[in-house]
Amino acid sequence: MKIKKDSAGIKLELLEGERDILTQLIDDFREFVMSEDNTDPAVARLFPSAYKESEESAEFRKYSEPALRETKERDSALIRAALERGNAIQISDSEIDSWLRGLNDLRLTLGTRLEVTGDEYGGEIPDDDPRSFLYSLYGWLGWLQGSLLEVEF
Amino acid sequence: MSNLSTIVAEPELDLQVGLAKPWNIIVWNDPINLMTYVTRVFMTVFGYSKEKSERLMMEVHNDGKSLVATGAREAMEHSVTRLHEFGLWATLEQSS
Repeated sequence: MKIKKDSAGIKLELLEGERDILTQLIDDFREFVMSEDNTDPAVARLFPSAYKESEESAEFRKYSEPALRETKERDSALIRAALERGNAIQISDSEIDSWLRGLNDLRLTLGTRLEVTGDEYGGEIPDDDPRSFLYSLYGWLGWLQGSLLEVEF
Repeated sequence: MSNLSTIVAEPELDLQVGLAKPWNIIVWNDPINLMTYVTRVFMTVFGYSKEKSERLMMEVHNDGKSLVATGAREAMEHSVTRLHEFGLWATLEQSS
């Protein structure tokens, strides 16, 4: 992966394997966000309660959840379409928020599933842990999002 | 006397509306969101400077939460929805 800032925004160059993985993650995410399974802790994290009182929270949710779902749908579709076009990806200034949010949604989903507690990038886990691949994906997503923020600032 | 109490009661109601206690947005610490990302979200959603956004982010990080904005309920609800869009864990509570 290579990232640099240019006059048109940010240029992101992914390796073939990185593009495949990100495509897979985005596709899985799009399917999962549409599932509306509210017993899933990752869904609860992506659609948090705004109030302590459940009545107020439910009222707020009526208006905010469709908007939230629409943003997730739009952001993930934008990333998906960019991945479709090739390994060299041009991210314009108006698209950067969608990329940051969309990558963050993937991190929140994976991080919740892995029950990440402290280290920002997932920390060290033994290679023979069955979740080690997911941990490395989580770490890679953090690195990608962190790099986008670094070149943008 | 009953007439007088009616007259007195009405301005009181108006005062309550005008002086309603404002609502606070609290952002809670979570182990997933990157620190630079949280800073960037405060800058984007509230238009705060980088310095102020970093200070609030550090408050969230060190104290577990931070009061990041105060205002009328409708405006604060709108901002909370935007924070949720960015994946921050934000809640609303009325000032005490």
